[in-house]
Amino acid sequence: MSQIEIKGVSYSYPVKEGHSLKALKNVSLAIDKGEFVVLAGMNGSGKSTLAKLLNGLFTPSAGEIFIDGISTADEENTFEIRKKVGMVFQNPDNQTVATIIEDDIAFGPENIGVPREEIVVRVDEALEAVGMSEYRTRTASKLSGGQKQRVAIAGVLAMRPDVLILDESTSMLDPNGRKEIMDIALKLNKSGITVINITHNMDEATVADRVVVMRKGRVAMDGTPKEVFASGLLEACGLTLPPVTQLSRSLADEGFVFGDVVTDEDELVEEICRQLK
Amino acid sequence: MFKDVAFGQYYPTNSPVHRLDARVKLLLTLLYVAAIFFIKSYFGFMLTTAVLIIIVALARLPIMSVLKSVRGVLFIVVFTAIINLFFIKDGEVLVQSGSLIITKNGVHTTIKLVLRLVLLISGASLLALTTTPVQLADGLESLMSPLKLIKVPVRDIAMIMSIALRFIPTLFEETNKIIAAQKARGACFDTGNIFARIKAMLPVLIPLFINSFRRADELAFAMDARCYNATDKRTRFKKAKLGWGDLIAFVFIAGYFTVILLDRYYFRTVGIDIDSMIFGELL
Amino acid sequence: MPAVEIKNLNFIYSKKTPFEKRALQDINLTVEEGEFLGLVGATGSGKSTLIQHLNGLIKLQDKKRSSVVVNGMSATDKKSLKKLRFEVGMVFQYPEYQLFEDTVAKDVAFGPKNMKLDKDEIDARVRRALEVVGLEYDKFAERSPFDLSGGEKRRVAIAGVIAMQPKVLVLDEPVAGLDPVGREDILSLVKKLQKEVSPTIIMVSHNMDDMARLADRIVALKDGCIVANGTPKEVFCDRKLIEDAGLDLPAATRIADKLIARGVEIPSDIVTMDALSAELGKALRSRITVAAKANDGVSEEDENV
Repeated sequence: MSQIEIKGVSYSYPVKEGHSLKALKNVSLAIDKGEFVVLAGMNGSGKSTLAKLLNGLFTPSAGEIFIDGISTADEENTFEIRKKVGMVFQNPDNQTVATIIEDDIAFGPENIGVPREEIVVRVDEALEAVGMSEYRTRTASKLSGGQKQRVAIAGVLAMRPDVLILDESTSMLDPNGRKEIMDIALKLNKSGITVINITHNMDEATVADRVVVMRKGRVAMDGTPKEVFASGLLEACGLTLPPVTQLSRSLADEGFVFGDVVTDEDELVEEICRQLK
Repeated sequence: MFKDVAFGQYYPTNSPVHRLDARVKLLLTLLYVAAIFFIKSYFGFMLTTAVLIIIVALARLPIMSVLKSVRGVLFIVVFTAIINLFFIKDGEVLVQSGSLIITKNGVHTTIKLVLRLVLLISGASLLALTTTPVQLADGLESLMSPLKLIKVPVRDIAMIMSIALRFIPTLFEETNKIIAAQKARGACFDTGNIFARIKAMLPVLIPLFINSFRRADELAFAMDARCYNATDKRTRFKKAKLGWGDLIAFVFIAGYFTVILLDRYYFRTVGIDIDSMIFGELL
Repeated sequence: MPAVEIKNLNFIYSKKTPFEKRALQDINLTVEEGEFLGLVGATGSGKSTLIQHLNGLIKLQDKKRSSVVVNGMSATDKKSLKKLRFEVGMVFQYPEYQLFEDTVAKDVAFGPKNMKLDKDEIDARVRRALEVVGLEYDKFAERSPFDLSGGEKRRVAIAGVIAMQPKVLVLDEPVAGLDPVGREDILSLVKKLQKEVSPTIIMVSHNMDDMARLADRIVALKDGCIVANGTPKEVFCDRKLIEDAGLDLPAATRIADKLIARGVEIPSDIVTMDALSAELGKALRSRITVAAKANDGVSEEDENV
């Protein structure tokens, strides 16, 4: 059994009376513990809806989702599931509850009734994990976007989740902030946390174990980054190849020969040098 | 417009005042506010100012941070002062020109009113400057906890307060951004009468409201995702404990309050008039 | 006459308080008419403060020493200020968050109305602005801006600015938060706007690849000072400058550097992927010719033997 099992899930938003918008159509997916999955797709493809279904913020209109074998549809499990599946959202300004950073990180553990002595330990660890220890007593509103998102990640880590979902958490950040968040996500993944990064930035997809591309509420592609980039279907899903892969494509037009899809900059450099020798 | 609003802006300095229990600070602030309404003499105002300055110094706050909050309501202060100055007509006349009359009584009342307002706002801002919104909310929740017995949702009220305070800087920043954007499209906020001005603010207020709802939506998701309302047995990261500092603070403010009460109700009955002892004929 | 001329511009926030912070220091900058200027720099480097001086949203602090002149109009002069507002169009970050009217047409008309134009002119401008940003007038004019998709909202917001037909258009990260298709759409729209509405463009962006591709000239700010000012090639090929300014390199330049370090013979002033790919193609072809010539040589020798 996989850690996350999505079985035939559909979801509709009520738009206005009698009308609803089908955001997800019969999606099935299984994600294993420790995977680093990028969930990609253009705006409106259903990727964020899927994320909100994974920790019980929404429940499926049809089908079922299991986290470690527990169904998200059962209200009794809601908080058990939210403890397991932590989520960081898009806007850095709209997810801190408390003014002071350490107070905010303690919010989750307080909610689930963690004893005080342990909250102290967890807050320390979470701050350490995102490299924000020296800011613990600062005001959240004075931080940069990247720092705010690091605090948001720490707030989730303090609940000791098994899965971390980044719901377009880098899309409002500048390149430095984006890099900070990606580095932390990779580090956490190495320590055993399953990471699901929802994004439309294909540079972020190159470091994933697996890329799932959504299109109009369905899974359009599911494979390793190389498989997905090689498919030639990315543009049809409203996405673009990462710059390095794009370059290798136009180099192929110039007469270079690449056996495999190139996603890594150094790999590309190596290959070019070899062919120019 | 809306520059540097200090209210709701915690100013961290880790002073003894910052470390006081939020409940104690809330109660003492109430006591202080009550005292201000009992002040009758200039001596009382001087004493209050001294108390305020001592607290600001102990809290290691720049005096500007306190005065900033006064600046925010300066318009109201000036407005009420002018009303008072010209509308109090009893007592010895100092200036008369046409129907304009300024009396000695009016001048005294106005000065005292301004002092009262300024001291009131400064005192209240001290609470916000030295106490984090979470501490404030927790303190309020604790003080109001008896109300839980009659089914008042004390915790939710405290949470709403804390979030409101947390979002004040965010919303002011956003307001400034929207104002700049609409000005860039030629909007003008400072001409015309009061109605024209209110109408001119709509291009700012409408997006501000819409964005606030959007923020509230996202925040609700973020709070749910972090298990808000998971259990009734919510624990506390920071537990407030009463210490010696709290006792000293209490004695200090209570002493001050007593002096103000004595000044109002007792000193004069036994023939002590500190104001005339200080100012003599000036009054 | 230059489109924008900034002289000795300084700006300090919260002047004479403990929170005093210098945002701009001795900025001298000229932007010629028809130029596409890319403004880069880290968050907090002073970009926002600088652009808000252009239409008087932020007032000059030292009117004696500094001056900001746009198309001959001074930002210090109260009379020309109002005109200046319409001369410089300003598209802020996430401009869709400033929409407020109940129909698209009314929202786009807000600027022209403030210009006190007559009704026919306003209607004509709204129509044209919507068409230019790629929103069909008949289809969108009467819809609520709040029911549109993210990309459409942003187009409406941009239409609201260009309806004033500004000579200079300033855009602060116009593609922030958009998906790849949305990004490309807006970037080509900016190019189109330069041709059809506002000949002078000043664009703020963190994306060096976009900058290298679009800008005629790049100005980099750091801690309120201009630390680089030149064509993309001049700026990105000065590695010391890039390091001092704390800027990222365009991906093409970064890859070219790695190749050059490995002994590949390509020019050192490559800033776009297209140029890199073309140069490498050339290198490959010349290698093939060299190899072919070498082969010819060998065969001649063979014959001689």
